[in-house]
Amino acid sequence: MSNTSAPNKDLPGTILAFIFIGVGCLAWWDTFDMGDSDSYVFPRAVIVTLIVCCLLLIGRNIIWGGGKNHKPLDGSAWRRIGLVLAMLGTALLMPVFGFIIVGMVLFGVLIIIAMFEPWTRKLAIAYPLIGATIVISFYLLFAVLLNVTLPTGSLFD
Amino acid sequence: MKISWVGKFNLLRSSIIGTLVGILPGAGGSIAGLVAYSEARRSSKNPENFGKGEPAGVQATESANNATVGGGFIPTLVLGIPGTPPDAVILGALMVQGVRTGPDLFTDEGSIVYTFIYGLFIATLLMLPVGLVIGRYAYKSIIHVPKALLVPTVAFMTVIGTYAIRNNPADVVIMILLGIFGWVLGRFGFSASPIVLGLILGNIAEQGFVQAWTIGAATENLFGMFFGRPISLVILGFTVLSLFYPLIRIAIENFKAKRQGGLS
Repeated sequence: MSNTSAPNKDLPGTILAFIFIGVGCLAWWDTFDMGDSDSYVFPRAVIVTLIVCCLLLIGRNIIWGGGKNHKPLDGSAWRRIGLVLAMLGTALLMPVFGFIIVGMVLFGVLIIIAMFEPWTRKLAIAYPLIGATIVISFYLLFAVLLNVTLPTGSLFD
Repeated sequence: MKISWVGKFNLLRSSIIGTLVGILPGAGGSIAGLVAYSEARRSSKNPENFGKGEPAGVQATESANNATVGGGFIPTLVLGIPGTPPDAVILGALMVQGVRTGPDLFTDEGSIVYTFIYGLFIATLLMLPVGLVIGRYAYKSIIHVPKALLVPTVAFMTVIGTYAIRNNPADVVIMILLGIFGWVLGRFGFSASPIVLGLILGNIAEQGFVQAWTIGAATENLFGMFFGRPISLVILGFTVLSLFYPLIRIAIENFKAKRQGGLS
């Protein structure tokens, strides 16, 4: 078997470069709202640099290759998706249900997502209690000590 | 101590990065840590070990983080612009005491400046015993915390910390979306440190660019404004060099490979 392998064409990098070119075009279109040259000259200079660099990256990938070989994903994809969904849900539900309720639910869900050990009766009691203590401690720290206005929940107003 | 000595170049490079990042207004220890970590990984012989407890990574981030303190004092005391968030607190305390920061501070209030210098020096020396004693018995306890408790706590802190800045849930959504974006970029080989540095330096660069453009346009010497001074040419040269460095490196590697192939 030969040790020489085909050069890595870095397809994800090429796709991202095309996406960035699209973003650059969008940003260029946005600069049409800017009236004077003092306002749009810098954004346009950055956009041109971005697009030129993306074209260079695409050219390099097509001609020479040489991008990094991407390792397969370690760990669990559903845990990652669960983490993102739980955090997004927290951000969206916190104004409705308030900080403490949503915070405790988030903590509980994340404990389940991040649990690698087998559940025992002791852990099932201890972890939720620790979670509740942490959420309440954060609430006291921010709301009472630091005077940050935390959402009480529109449902309870 | 032995690990620190083995990685003395990493330590020195990371400390310089930390000092330079500390000088930049608004950029703190976390950004310096990111940049130093990225550089340490780039120059390491075993980059695949980074993220798995590689001592060089810890050494880079921590030395850069500590070095920002000294760097941050430079704009704080000389220009009255805090380099890091703690410097803003120190600046506030100085202002409350009626001390005016600026270049004159060094001649008019030398005792204050030397208090800072010696204080920082003593604090740096004290870091060693404190780190050795507390690190050995207290900091290591973090690795014994179960993931099922650590992950929710960190996630919760990011949510509440982002929310507390402006009391706006939309900020939390943006933080999560940018986190996903950063993760995807990281997977595809885009390093986080240039992006973070771009966010920090972007404002400063834009301000300087617009100022130079306005002056150049007003004096009808736009080209000379950007390319007429040796210092601007040197900076532009370094910028272009760093921009095209990956291509230059590939060309050099290809040239070397061809040469070796020709020789053999």
